[in-house]
Amino acid sequence: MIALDRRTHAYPVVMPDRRLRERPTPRRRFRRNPMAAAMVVAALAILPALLYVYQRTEAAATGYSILRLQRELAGLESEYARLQATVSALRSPQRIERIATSELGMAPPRQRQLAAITTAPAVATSPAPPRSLAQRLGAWLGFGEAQAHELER
Amino acid sequence: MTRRPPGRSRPRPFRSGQRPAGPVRRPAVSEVDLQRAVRGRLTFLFVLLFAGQAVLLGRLVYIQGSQADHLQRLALNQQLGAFVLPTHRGRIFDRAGRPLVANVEVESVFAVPRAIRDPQEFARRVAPLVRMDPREIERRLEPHLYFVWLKRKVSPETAATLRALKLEGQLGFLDEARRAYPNGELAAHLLGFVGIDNQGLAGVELAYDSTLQGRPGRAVVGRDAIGRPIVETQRLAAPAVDGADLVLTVDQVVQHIAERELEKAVEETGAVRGMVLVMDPRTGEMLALAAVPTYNPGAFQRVPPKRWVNRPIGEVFEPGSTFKLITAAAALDSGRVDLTDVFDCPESLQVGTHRIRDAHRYCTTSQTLTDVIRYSSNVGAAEVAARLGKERLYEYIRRFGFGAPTGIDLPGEAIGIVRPPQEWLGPGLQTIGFGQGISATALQMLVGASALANDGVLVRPHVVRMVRDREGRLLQGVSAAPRRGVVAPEVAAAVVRMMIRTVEDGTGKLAAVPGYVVAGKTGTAQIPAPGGGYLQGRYISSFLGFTPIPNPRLAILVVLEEPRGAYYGGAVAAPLFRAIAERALWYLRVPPSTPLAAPAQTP
Repeated sequence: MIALDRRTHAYPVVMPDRRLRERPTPRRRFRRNPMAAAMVVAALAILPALLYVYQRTEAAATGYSILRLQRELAGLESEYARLQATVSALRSPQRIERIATSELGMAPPRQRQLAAITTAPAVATSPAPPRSLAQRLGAWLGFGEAQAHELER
Repeated sequence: MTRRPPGRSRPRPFRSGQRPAGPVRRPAVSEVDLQRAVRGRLTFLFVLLFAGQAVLLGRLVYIQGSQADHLQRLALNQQLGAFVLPTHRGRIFDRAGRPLVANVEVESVFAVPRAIRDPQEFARRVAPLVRMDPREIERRLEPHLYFVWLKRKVSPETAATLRALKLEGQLGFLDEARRAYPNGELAAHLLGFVGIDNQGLAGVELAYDSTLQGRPGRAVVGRDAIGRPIVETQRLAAPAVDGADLVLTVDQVVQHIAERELEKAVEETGAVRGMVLVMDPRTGEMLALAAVPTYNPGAFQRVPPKRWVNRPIGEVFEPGSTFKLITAAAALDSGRVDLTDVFDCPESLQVGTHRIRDAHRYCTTSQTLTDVIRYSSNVGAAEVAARLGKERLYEYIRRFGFGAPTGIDLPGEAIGIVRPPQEWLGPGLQTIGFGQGISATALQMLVGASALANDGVLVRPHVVRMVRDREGRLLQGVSAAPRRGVVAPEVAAAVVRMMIRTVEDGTGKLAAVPGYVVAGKTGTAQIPAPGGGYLQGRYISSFLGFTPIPNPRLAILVVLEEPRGAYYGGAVAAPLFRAIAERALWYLRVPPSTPLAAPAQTP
């Protein structure tokens, strides 16, 4: 406004009839439409609160999910332990022997049914010679394997 | 407000009992009066509001100020709850990682007496399901109580039946961990058992109770309106630490072999009781520890407490002729006797007023120390002991660990009875030479003799191999230390050779295992009578041996108490030794050192 006045004094020109529309300041806009302003303020005030409530609700829901999963986990662990104990009971030597002897008609081997076998000591195999870069590349591309298959035939 | 039209007079008040026709007209008031009235009412309203606000504000200040701490405490007490985080008791495995003791979740039943209107009817319905006396249940239901246990750790079937009664609010269930022994009676005396709160009461369960128990944690958590925990409010005060798992030195299969053969032998011989110990003589690791009669650790209350005693380590007996090994080793190591020394072979030996005889006379003129062991000569052992002298024999007895605990990691170990030499009256020296007049546990006997199979070095027996956490990480390994030499290695080797002769062509022939060299010694001991002397016709038969020789893997002691009919160790206990050693060697894949007989030809 001040700048315009000065320019008028320095350079007198015919100004248009239409008055220059002044851009209203926010304060003026709020004064003109207090309801909108109140809405904005209310929204700004309520939004974080809503977000907070949403967050808390989600946290509580997640907490209950965790609780449910924890119970489920405990139940599964309990079931696993019970099954482990059952497996151990099923594998007990007494039970296996009872079934083997009474149901399957098995018996421990007698002395004359056993023979000691002398086994030859294991022969150490020589390690495969290191392959060249070309051979490794060929094997990677599949040529080496193809050759091996041919040899097998 | 409407103004009255001009010309109309103020309506006259009507007389009582008369009602004017038409609508009721209110009396006109002036504007000033009206304003005054409104102002007055508004003022009153504002005063009322302010007064109300002031009261509320005062109450707020009172609550938030002076009462804040107290109310906060009340609220926290109501919303927050501290609870104990349970731990898992450690499991017990055999040396190959097979579970011997596990935990299973079961339910315990409680009642809410305050919610029960008719205790008599309640008891009548519940008692048969929990196998309790209705009067006992009624006695427990004291009306002022909110909680009382009815039955701890019931079976799933019982819990389901109780739920079907639909006694909501009066009956409740809580999960609890129960020890499970999936192999039933296997290794019962070694494993022991736990009480209702999973506290160790016997065996490994007691010896390693603090290791197995773990440490319960503590946490604080807020609860919602219906009592559910609010997860985000959880605060861990102290984390729960699960109990550590134990890996035993015991082998489930060797233990089973020992128990099976022992039961069979007890049945066949008519023995009252029996026990078997199997140990690795090089390390002191116990591979099996069996006693008959036994019990199920999961239902230990069903047998008399006497049966809970771990007799192989907790009861003493006179070892009899197996003790001659100690006498022979002491005689050789002290230099008082040489392998070539020859002893007289009389029919009997007179010591003071007592006469010592052999069960069977096998020699007529003389005998060597090897013969004394091979034929289990009491007269010969008495002569050897006499040559050693009281002090020297006592010194070796103590060196071999008699009269002191072996240090095994099991509770209730007896130390035996070894009287000082001053109290060896009459033929005490001679009788101790062949194992009478001295008492030891079966474990002491096995450990002492095993030093001979271990180049004269005594090992500490133990049953726990390692301690692991729940994820299987090693926390603590158990070594065989401490070890100490008791006799020279060559002396130990010489005694072992005598033991081999005993099995080859001595009293222990029935202990021979085809394909393997066995060193052993028979034992037949009388049972002391409570008032002195010995019980007539009642004996303890035993056999102690090592196999295979050299590098023995198994040291086995079998004891049968009061067998009927044949009672000599060589006749009763030696076959039991053979049966156990044979099966155990096959199971352990120990190759035979001597050629086996040719396999039978199949048609």
